[in-house]
Amino acid sequence: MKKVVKLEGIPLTEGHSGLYLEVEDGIVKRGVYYALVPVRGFETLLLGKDSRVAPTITTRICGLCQVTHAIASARAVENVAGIEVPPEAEKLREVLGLAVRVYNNLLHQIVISEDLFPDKREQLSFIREVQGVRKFAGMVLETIGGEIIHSPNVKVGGISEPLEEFVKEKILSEVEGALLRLQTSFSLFKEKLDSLWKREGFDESFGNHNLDFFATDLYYGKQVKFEDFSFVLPQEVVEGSLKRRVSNLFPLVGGKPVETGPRARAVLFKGYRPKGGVKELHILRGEENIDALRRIKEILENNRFDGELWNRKTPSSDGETVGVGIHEAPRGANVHAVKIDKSGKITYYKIVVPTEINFFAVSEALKGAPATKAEFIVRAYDPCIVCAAH
Amino acid sequence: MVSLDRRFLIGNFRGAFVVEGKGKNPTESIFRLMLKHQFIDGLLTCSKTGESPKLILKSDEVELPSKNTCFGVNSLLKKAIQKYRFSRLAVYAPACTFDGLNKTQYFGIGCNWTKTAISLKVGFLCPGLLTENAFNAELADIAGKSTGVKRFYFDGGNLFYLLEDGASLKIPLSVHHHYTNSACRYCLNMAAKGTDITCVNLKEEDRVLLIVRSERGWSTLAHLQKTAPGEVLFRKAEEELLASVENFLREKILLNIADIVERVELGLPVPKWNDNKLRKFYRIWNSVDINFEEEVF
Amino acid sequence: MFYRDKLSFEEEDFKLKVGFLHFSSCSGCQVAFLDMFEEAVEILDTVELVYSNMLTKRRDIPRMDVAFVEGALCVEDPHHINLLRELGKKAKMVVAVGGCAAFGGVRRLSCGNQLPQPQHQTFVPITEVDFLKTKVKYAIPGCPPNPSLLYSFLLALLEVNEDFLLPFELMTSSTKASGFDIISEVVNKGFCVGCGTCSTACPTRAISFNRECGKPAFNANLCVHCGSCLAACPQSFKPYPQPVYV
Repeated sequence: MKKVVKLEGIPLTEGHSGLYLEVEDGIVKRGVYYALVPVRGFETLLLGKDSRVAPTITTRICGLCQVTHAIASARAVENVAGIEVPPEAEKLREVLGLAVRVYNNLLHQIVISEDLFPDKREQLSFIREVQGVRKFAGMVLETIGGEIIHSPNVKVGGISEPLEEFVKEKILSEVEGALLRLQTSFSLFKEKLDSLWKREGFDESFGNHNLDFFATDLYYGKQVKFEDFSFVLPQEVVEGSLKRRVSNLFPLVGGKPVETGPRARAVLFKGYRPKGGVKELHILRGEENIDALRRIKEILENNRFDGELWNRKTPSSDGETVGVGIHEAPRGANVHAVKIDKSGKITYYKIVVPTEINFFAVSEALKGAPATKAEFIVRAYDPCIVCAAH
Repeated sequence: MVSLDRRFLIGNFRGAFVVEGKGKNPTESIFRLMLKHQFIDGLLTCSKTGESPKLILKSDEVELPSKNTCFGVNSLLKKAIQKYRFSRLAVYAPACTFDGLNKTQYFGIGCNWTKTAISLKVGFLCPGLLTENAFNAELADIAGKSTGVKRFYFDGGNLFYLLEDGASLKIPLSVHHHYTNSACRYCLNMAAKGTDITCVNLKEEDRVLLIVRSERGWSTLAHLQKTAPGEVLFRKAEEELLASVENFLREKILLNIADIVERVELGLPVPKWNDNKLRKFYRIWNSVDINFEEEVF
Repeated sequence: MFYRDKLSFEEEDFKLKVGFLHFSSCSGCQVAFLDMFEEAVEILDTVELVYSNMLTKRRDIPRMDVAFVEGALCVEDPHHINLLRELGKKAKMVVAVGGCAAFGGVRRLSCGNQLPQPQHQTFVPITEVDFLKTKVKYAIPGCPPNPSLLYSFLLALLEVNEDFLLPFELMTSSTKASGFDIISEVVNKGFCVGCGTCSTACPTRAISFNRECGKPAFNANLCVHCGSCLAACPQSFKPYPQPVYV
């Protein structure tokens, strides 16, 4: 029996999104996952503005992974204007990026704890543990970035405020405790994940696909060519009234749909051999948290940040060259591209966020899965819909 | 009705003490001791000359503003609390700074978790704040001099400036009122009600009048005396001294009230979201039977 | 997260039912609620979270006592129009959380015309929508509001502390906010005491401090219209009752 199922609003994910499923005998034959929140127009509202305000405005694309947009945006402007960033500032940005990775991945664990914990009391105590670690990540974001959400200290040319040694020591004194709490909550998380998979009758290959992976770096982000990206309009993908509602683009990398995110980073930079299903996404995401905290500790221990971290050079370019800024966000490679004119005004801005890249990966992963369980696949990718429809 | 009595002018307090610091500024000594013995982990105030807000972390760096200029103290609040993560911060500033700070604490607005991060609020009795330019104009007006001001103090109910050339200059309030920051002309809280301790600068640099208001201020000073006995000497303030402070406040507040009354009568605008404190005061000022409860305007 | 599919004890349940809805926004305000960290767990244990796309499994919007709404309404989006009608039907009281919902916020800069839906051009804060006029009781400024502000606000809401809530009620009737407020409402009117609270409150550091004049200096390029500065200014409203000297 063939039928078409349209779902609007996927609970336990961020934002308002939808699923289009062509189902045969309860199994998805073709699925499309898409965003349904309005396009806020960050790419157009930036046109004509001074490029130095881009990090401040673009960080407001997303309230979950705020600082990655600020970093990608600052790096894009620096790239096009040839501004050299003090190496310590780049390291400190890496710390901010890793802190938001932990902060945000753990938020995802809180969100899906509704699925994982049938017992409410157990769920609350899990959340309390996880919140403890998020509090540490929040402290790193607040101390270095200026605020927990929407860090104002990430500027074009570096970081606006140095990090004094005694503040750094305060952070370092708490990192071990946070790591310990993180490891405890992660093992509980894995245990509960196993029992969820058992309860729902999923196997390891549930939600697998054969797409390539795309990532630029394990922790921070390395340059890519913007020409590699091309975009499919939703009007070419979906049918009927959805054409006028779906609000995300479907980016292709090198002309192909790819997956980005924790699994892509593990496969490309850690030699991980993927099992295929979406369960490992949860595990790899959790492992990234532990890696991230260790890396934060390593960077802070081995560097001093109490000098000048901000190159205040006024950005300027020819208005033709595209500058690309990459940051490895919690959900994958976050790419900002910008053109600025001689006076430093923005003449072109383009944002490619990881959730956008993953829409096709989610759609691929849906193939062959029971239609009633489609939401589990979506959740495993931790989609951030507001980012996707920026 | 409002009567310009001690309760309105100085506000409620538990005790008033003249504190002597053995040749040093006793308020500075107190903060130095508090930092040294870790009662507080930072002191938020202005630099000595008052030109910029300052966050003091070490006890040998303690210096308090000595002129009646102290702007922008709260602009360092986020740095102190969100960045440096101080949890026992002391603040030394005029009353208006504490209006902002108390609001931040009460509503949680402006800076994250200020409520739990401040451990002592010390306000100074403020005759109205001046900027550098205002000081120059005021001195030229009163004395025809262009020399700088070193410190301000109160003596016998009058405001004095100690000038850089060593001379003391009595400042007539009617002239001073003209040169102060315009918001200071509508201020009804010069004695810094809403703080733990109010500090009044006296003629001798090593003497100061401390008006202890809250239990927290009281116990902090008691604890300090126990921890470092003899470093600063406390003596109960004479009634005469308090009366002279009260007289000064009465004289200045009458000038301020005249400005407020004029402003309300002319219907000059006030900021939006304001609970219209000026009109409220005007009503209380002009009525006979409103039962006036303590309220910091 | 705390909602269970079967609501069996509805009659005996006297917990305040709250929900989070979001229009066009970044979800940061909802996350700011969670950034009370451990305290968030305690607070959410005392109220009942009946709806949030992120934290509950519910698909339809149930009736609720208080709806915390973030984000500006996009007029061209049919989902938003539905949501608006639902909100009018289902919520007893609406609280506009954050700059976008209360004063337009960063949405004030939007001009639309971006692929794939270039028609998404109109963004209005929910305080400007007459349909909800009677429902929107409070507006909370900030981008995002401080977790400590949200914490105090939730407590005040539970305790019905009207002294605390009054300023937030006044803010619903002022649909515009920006750093210029500090200049036009406070500095120009002769009420600026130069305390620097606005400068610390600004989430984008658009307000610096002019030491020469002892007044704030505003850089409009960085302003995201969140209303934090005037809300934090001691001259816009003061805490009443004032701190008691115990």
